[in-house]
Amino acid sequence: MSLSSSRKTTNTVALALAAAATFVGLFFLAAILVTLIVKGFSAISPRIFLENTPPPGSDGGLLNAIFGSVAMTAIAIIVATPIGILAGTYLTEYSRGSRLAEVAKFINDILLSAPSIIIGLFVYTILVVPFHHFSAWAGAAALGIIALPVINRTTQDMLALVPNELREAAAALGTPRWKTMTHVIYRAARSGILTGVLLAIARVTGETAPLLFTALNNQFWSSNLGAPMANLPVVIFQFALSPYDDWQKLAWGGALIITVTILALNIIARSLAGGSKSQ
Amino acid sequence: MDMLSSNSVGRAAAATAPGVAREQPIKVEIKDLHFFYNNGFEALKGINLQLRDKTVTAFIGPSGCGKSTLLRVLNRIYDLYPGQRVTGEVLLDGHDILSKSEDLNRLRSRIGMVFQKPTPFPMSIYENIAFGIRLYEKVPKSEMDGRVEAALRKAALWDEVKDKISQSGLGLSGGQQQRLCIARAIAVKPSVLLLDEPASALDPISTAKVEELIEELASDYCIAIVTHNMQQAARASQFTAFMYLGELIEFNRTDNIFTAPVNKRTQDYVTGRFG
Repeated sequence: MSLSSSRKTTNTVALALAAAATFVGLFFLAAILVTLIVKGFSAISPRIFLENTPPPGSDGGLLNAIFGSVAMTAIAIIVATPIGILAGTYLTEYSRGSRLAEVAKFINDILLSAPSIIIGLFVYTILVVPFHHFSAWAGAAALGIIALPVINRTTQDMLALVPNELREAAAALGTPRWKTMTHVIYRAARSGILTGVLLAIARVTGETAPLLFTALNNQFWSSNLGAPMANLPVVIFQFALSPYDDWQKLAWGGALIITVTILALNIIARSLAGGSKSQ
Repeated sequence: MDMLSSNSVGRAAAATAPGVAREQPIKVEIKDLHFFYNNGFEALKGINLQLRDKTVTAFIGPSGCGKSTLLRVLNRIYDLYPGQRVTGEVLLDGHDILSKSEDLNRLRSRIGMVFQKPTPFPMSIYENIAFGIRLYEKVPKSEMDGRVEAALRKAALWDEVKDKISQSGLGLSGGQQQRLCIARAIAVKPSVLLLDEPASALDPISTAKVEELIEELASDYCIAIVTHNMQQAARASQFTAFMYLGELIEFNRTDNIFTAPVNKRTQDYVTGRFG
């Protein structure tokens, strides 16, 4: 066999293997999505957004769980966003090169990849055990702790992308440091930081483990943040494992709602990030 | 030894200067200026130099000779980086701006700077100009419009942007962005302008426009320009300082530097034999 034909053969084989690997990966992804859409879509009806979780054997929806998820995510993000952005700002802009900053960045990155069940357990220990009951506050705290390092890290990355010339240009005009940050640098990094917040929302939306330890679940409508609160992931967990067909169906519906939400958040985040690049 | 030689050059320049008619008063006087980076590297080794008002002074020299560093001392932008330090004096209208008590924001309102890479802020063209003005003055909207227009006119940009003044400054071409930065700098009414290779990132047509602009601005400001381009120095400036390895080798009228340089290294550099 000549050299070039053996190269061609090698190329064909490598290409085939790569294509097969891609196919296997995509196959399972597609299988998950198709199953989710087929089973979830049949569960989606106006009722799912209008009625609370039912007892087995009767009709109902996921209203209380959707409300709980939105409420706890909202509290988590509202608290975590300013802290994350300020921390990221400090670490990138105000403490460059200091040992404290390097250690803080490292710890933040560890927190970023910490298993969420550990964060759940932590919050359980400090916010559930002392009060002797589960609560939405504890759930929001756990979600906030998960969102915080995501927002912090993206803020760091996005501020680091702002060219240093812009800081110098603002300083050369006699702009005070704080004004340079608020009026120039944040503006330049705005879409990137917003992307980080959206990704943090997407991240916490699907978290189950930390909520199992904290907000637990609630079969009824509850807007009391001091009490257990229903939420989509835990409802899905509970209903999917149940022997009741109607509960299982609702679990699929909830799974589809979460997936679509995360997909939408990712698409928005991507288009925001893309938009800032083309500027 | 180094210091002595540059001192003597400074004196030689000073000696030739009074012979020339229509000499402008001295605006900035640099005395025995040394600059150290935080790793201890001495980037400027005893610079003595005067910048005259309403005059363009060009700093030329090979990369790393300290010309940009010198410019960055004049508005103390180096202060952004802890660990960099200077010794010596820089007198602006007779007042030492290197003193610890100097109000840097006020200083920088008097000494504007334009960088190599255009740096429009991520806001509208109008806001880019108004931003600087608002730092120092409370100006009513109607007056602000006039100030913005005047700055853009002065930077020869008004006609090109007057119909899109509320659009983002980032949407302009590189040359327009650079003129926007010049407009932004002059809008706060400085008396000194520092230009750090303002045209080196621009195409030839934009370069010509920026050079033309510098020529016009020279009638109002004390301008210091760092450039790699010797034709630019020859065209745009009245005085030229040739620097090499952190020392001021020769400082004189631009004509003299380019036609009759005293120092051998200056001659080699301006004739393109090194650098």
